[in-house]
Amino acid sequence: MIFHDQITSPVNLVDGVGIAIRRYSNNQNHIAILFKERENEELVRIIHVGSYKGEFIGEVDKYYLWADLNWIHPIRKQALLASIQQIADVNRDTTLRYGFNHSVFCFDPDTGRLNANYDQTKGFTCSTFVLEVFLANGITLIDWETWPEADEADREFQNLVLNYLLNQIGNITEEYLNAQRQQLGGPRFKPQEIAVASQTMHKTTWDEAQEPAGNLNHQLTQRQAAS
Amino acid sequence: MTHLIQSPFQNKKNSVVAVLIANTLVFSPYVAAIEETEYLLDTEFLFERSVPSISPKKDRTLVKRVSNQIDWLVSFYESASTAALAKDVYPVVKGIRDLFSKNSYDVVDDILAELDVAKLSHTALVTFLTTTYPARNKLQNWTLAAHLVKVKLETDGLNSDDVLHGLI
Repeated sequence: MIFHDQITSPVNLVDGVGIAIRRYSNNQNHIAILFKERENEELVRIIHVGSYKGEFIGEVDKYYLWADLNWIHPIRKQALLASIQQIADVNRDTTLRYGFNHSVFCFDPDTGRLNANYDQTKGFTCSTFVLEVFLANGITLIDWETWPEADEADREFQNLVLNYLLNQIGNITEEYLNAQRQQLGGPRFKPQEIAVASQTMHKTTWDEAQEPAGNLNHQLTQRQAAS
Repeated sequence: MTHLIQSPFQNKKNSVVAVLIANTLVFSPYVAAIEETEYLLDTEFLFERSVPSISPKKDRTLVKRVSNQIDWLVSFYESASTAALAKDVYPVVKGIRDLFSKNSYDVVDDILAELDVAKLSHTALVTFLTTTYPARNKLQNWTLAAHLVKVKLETDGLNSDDVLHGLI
């Protein structure tokens, strides 16, 4: 399982589609899906949820580590890349809400567009967004049932997010806030856990993810210290 | 039964050339699938010539192939044998999802029934399968198409379980 640093491995070496992860603040990380643009495959971008109603497509800054999806057969990977390019194209002007929902199958698997499941009460973290995109392509990265309810540290994170949402005055509805409050205490899918889950063919359990996720988190800490 | 179809290289309705398709089909199960899509001649399908047949009545029977009537699909088939990259198969993803968004599941089902596994690249075949996979329960021909793709991949020496992981 190798997560490349762009200092030694430029991101445009990605084999069409991959995973990108970076330190966001303190011990919090951010994950995104890396893909080569259709019109210019030298141009590598990310699709992600970085903030409340933030941009769907973003640039890959130098702080991201990245990894290929080597377990996916090269033939299948081209089909996956075409699918992600189409999702990027049809949702280019979409903004997504930040929140705690997961496994809502919000990307219509038939059309690639956000569907009715993504209603006014739903929002994603960067992690659950990545999981959703893969779900839309028939790939289930994790064994959902093995993810535990939030522990004390997770609840602290969830409260920070809720406070962040409360500060989106004028840009957020009371209905949405109430719906997100109901999600507090639910499982937290950490970016480093989802990143390592993307590196194996089978559905990763929570237990399986912990050690490699810890190693990746350490790598991200070192990367942050070096910058 | 003699099937007459619109030429795969001709997309203009008023200049249709009849060709035999049976000899282009590699897999016999596919013949059955094609027969399910058979329609009687309508006024939009005029033949400049007919293929000799014992039964004149059968001469008027044709397979109205969806793959000859959808512009993006006609265009795609022209280079489908060499489609190896995402940019090559993107029109399939876009075209099929556009059809889904119009609830044209029957058209997609016909496209699957008419998949010419001998003329499509591996990437093209897999893209047809992966793009239609989420809607497979609405597509009667999906399972047959998946089987034919699996057989084609294995015949060509590929590990179909790896390529089609999670799909079959």
